[in-house]
Amino acid sequence: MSAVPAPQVDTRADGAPAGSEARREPGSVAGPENRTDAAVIAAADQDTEQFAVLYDRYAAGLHRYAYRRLGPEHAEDVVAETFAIAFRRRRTYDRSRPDARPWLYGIATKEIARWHRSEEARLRAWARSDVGRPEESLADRVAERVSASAARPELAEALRRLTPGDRDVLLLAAWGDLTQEQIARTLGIRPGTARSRLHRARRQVRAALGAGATDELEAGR
Amino acid sequence: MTDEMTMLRDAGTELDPPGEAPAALRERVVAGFVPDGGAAGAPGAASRAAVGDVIRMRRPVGRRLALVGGVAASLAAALVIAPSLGLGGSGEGEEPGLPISAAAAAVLQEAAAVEAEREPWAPRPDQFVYRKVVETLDVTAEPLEAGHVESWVSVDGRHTGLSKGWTLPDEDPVSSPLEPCAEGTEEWCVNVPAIPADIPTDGDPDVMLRYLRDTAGPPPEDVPEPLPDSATFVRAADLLAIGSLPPQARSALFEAVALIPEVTVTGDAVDAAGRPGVAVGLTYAGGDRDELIFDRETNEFLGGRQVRSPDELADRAGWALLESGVVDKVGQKP
Repeated sequence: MSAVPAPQVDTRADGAPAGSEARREPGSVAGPENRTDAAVIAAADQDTEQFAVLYDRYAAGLHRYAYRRLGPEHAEDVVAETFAIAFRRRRTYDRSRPDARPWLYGIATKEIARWHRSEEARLRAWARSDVGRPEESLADRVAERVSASAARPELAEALRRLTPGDRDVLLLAAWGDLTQEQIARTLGIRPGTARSRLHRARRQVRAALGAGATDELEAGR
Repeated sequence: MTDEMTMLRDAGTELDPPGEAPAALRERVVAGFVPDGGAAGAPGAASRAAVGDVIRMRRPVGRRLALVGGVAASLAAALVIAPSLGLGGSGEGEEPGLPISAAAAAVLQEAAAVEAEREPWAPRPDQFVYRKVVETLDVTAEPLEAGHVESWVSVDGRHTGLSKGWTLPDEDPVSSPLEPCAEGTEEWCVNVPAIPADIPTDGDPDVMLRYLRDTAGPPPEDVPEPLPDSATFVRAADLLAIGSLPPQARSALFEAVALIPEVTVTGDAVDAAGRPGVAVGLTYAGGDRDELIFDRETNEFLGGRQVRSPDELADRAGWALLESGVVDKVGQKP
């Protein structure tokens, strides 16, 4: 990733719970549970089955992430393909990086991109799933707008309207629990780019949510 | 209002799988972790491959071309959605969206004339369309991030092509085969025919305009008030992005675009390769524009861009067609 001045420190500013298994005290004994991801990948040089440790650490998170984005039809394939690609490329893994999550999510992101039509359809369906709700008073709906499910159509539509790159950044942050620096490494972009994309995506989503509330007020007038 | 990130996280739980990833999946995946005699590639190759994959998988015009589908989806690069950052116009102090339809028609007719003078030809189904394009990936990056792609796409979509992509000039390009689409995967498969089999080649602009309207996707969603022929224009841009259409078709395409009433000269523009030109396009409410860029001197078609206003970085966005032609084999150049 020659284009990216790579930060060497794996900060976990957000204290994201998922993947924190990989965080180890420096110098700790490299027992099976204590090893960094890099150590696991190195161990797989000798014993390829060691790679399953990575699966056990991250498959659940990757599966949930892929499932949220693509739904049941493709989530498992994305996970399977991500690990198959990672395994094939394991010797190219930069072993100075203890945490393999950006690497794995980077592969997964490209796999997810192959199914962009499914994502499109999923977001449309998600937006519509609100259609069947019983009619509520406008006041209820406006009050409820603070809750996530009430804003679902606007949220889904806003996600759908993001550029693919912006959507990746936003969802890796919100659903993948990755920090901005991890996202930058995941996508092979500069940290500053990740920051500006996240900022832009958040602003667009915020605007869409705001506009939705306004539309509704005006429609009910 | 709740913070949008919190809302997104909360709403995301609605999309969660009903349970953990199945055990059968683990078995299937772990079964593949067997010695293989060494993974190919030098250190760093994976990340470069990743970049290449991104370029190949990147749908030109993102969502919009995805909706248009067809040929467009197979192309490695086309119009780019420019991010909205700050206020600005098209530069050079020129007023964007200047309603000079006549000037636009003149540029397009000149371009059509250039094509009409070429020797007519028709592609064979077993040939490949070679293209070299550059597309802005991130206008906010310093230096500018651009995707360079060289590709050989099967004319009929039934032959394995090749895409080579890179983002930095000194980077080794990463090659990805473009496999023919399997039955039933045409919806999302990227290797569709490079040249639509049904594109009119009789040189009649009216026939071409009808074809564009018939095969256009839905109107663009990222502009507030699309014009009646917005999608027609985007469809034309997609077809021009192929580069190697038979000259009769390209000539008719330019003339057909000139028939779209709202098309105007939108000012000076620079394509993604830095080549200055004149932009012809549609201007929407609020100043957003879809543009095709032509060489100011020769009227040759250079590329295109989408300008989503406000956007002070417009001149960094877009895509540029550097080379194109039809060849017999993957790897050949015209």
